Amino acid sequence: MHETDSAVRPAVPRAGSTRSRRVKALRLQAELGIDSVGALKEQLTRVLDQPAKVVLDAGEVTRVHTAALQLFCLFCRDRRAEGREVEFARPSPALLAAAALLGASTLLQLAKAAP
Amino acid sequence: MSIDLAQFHRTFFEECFEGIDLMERDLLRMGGGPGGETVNAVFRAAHSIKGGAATFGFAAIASFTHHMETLLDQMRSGTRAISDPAVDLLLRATDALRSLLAAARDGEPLDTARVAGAQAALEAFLGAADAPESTAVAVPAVEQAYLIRFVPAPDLFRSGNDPLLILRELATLGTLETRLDLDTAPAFAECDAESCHMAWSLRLLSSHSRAELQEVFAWVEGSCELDIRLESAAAPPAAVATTGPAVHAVAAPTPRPGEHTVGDGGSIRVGTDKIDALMNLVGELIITQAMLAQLAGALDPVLNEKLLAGLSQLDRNTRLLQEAVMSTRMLPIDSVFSRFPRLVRDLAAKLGKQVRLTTVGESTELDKSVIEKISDPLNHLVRNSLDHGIESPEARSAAGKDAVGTVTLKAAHQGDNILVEVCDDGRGLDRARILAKAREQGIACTDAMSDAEVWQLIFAPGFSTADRVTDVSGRGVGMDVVKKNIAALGGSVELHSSAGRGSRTVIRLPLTLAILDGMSVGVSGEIFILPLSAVIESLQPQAEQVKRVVHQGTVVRVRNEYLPLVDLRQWFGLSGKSRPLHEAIAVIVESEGRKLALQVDELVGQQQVVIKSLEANYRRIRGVSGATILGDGRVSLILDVGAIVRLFSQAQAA
Repeated sequence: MHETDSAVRPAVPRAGSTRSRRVKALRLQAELGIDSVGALKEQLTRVLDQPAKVVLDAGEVTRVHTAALQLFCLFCRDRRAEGREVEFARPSPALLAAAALLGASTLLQLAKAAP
Repeated sequence: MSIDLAQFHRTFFEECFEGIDLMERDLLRMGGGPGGETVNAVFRAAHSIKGGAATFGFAAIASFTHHMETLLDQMRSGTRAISDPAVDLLLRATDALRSLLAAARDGEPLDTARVAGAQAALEAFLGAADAPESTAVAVPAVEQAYLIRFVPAPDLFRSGNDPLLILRELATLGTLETRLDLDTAPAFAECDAESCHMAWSLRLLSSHSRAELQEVFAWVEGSCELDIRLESAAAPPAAVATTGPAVHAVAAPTPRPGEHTVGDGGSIRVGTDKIDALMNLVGELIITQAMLAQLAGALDPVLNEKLLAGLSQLDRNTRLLQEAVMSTRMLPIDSVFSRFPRLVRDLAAKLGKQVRLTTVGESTELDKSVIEKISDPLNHLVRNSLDHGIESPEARSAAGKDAVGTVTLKAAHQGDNILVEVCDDGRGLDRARILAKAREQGIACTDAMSDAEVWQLIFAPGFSTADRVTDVSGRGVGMDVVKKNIAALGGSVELHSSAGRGSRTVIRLPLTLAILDGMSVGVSGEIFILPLSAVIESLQPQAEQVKRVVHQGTVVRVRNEYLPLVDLRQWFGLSGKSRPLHEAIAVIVESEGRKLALQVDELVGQQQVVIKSLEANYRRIRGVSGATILGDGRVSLILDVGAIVRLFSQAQAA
């Protein structure tokens, strides 16, 4: 996973309103298997309290384990509960399919992010 | 923190090999007849292997099993008849699957020709079936709505499972609506990334049966709460949220009635090393208990009434604990017997014989370590029965027997022993031929030997009556190895035969290798333990019962039978002077049908002793099978009666 520290625009135009023009982009790695959820959690933890909008670039995700999806769900739920924004950019078909099967599409607000 | 995949792999492979054994057993049971539940069981096993292989990324195994699964699915749905060629093909495929799994597990080179051959045969078979399948009468599919509550245990991920794969498979069975439940999930910051905090309420519109849906969850049985019910039968479901984040919509948790929960069947997998450690500790406890009992023997029973009552309770509890721990190591002998239908089927076909295998007492339990070691000897005996015992169908018919021969495997408890028998109704052992072969091979024998003694010649190293070395016999494992293996387990082998009517091999084995019921005897101040199972009686002979025979040593007459007498003091070279026998005690023991009187100074008592390996702690000594620690801390040797009887007869013959 690559983390960009500077404020960058996400790869796709942002949908909806934002309170801040600043965004924090995280590029998700392709393989989100059970063996990588530890690292994924660390990465997400670093931006959990980030006031800027967090954009998770999921364009390269080819494989996703339920454990990774669970992290996304909890991350999105907790951030939104704090009134902070988070969204997915370029969700890959693998991620969309997994979220749909697990019933997490709504929570992750993938419908509006889908290309 | 990262998950160690190796431990999942180990479990996966264990379960796969169990699954294959089961498939093979059930396939043989199916053999041409109507399938019913059996074909379902085989299908489930194949399905589990496929699921596991896909989860762990063993693509070749998953794809191979997929073909088997397809064929089995056709068989169970009735679109394909359960025919002998199909069963043969599936059996061939289980072999290939086994080698695929072994290759994946051990990194051994793969028998690619066999796997490719089996796969091509399966594909060809399935291809040929496509036509009849399409013409098969389609069962009118009635769609039903199922409500499924799936609550994975937190450690579900750690057991190598992914709910995503389960739901994906479920979705193939019909139209799936999913509602995710994060109610019990902790905050992101506090969650354990590798624990499952999610639960699902699913609604599936499907024409499949409930059992079929349950199969999808077979892989996670025991690590989840599962409730599958028909919507019509269920209480009105909580409204499925269609607006807003689903996670907030689930207000009340769906009822989870316990009776529908698919449990783990009340069993867990435990490493044998842990059970061995437990067994060892129980052994130490028994020694401690024996020590306390010995010390308490010197106490005044009136003054120490409570202490003694406590000690007797300790004695009882120790015994119960020992039995309980031992029972955890017990497995039904079926795990060995179940390998034989396949062996007999293949061998009989190879030898051009017709053989029926019957098994009796498959549920008899014995120690796991004994089970592992008895498999090879049994294998050899069954091969022998088929190769040498059972005649060709023509010869059988000519002799007025059923053209189909019968080989019977029996297991039963007898006291502290297990009896395992291999019987056949073949031609029996040929006394003249055995004697002739023995002479040819320079084994000492005479025509005057009793039948039992002649049969024992078979166990001599290098003995073989086979005129030709076939694929079946002559693989370098002789009956001597069978006997040696069984003797190493503390067991014995007896042969019975009647010409033209068949032969019977009886293997007698101790229930466990860890604890022995022993009789302690005193010789020159030393205590020796005799296995109680070998002791027939003990007596103090009258002077006139003892006779010295020139060159034959001393014999004791017991009820008109003359038994050779062995003075244990001399045998072990102990100090002190032997008492005249009428002042000592003769313990009569039996092994392999031969009796011997052992002269000892006194009978000390009867007790359970924990067997400690002498080989592991010192070295092997002939005539001694192990050692134990007595209550007073002294080491006592456990006598190997079988070896003493053998050594004594050899000394006599020399």
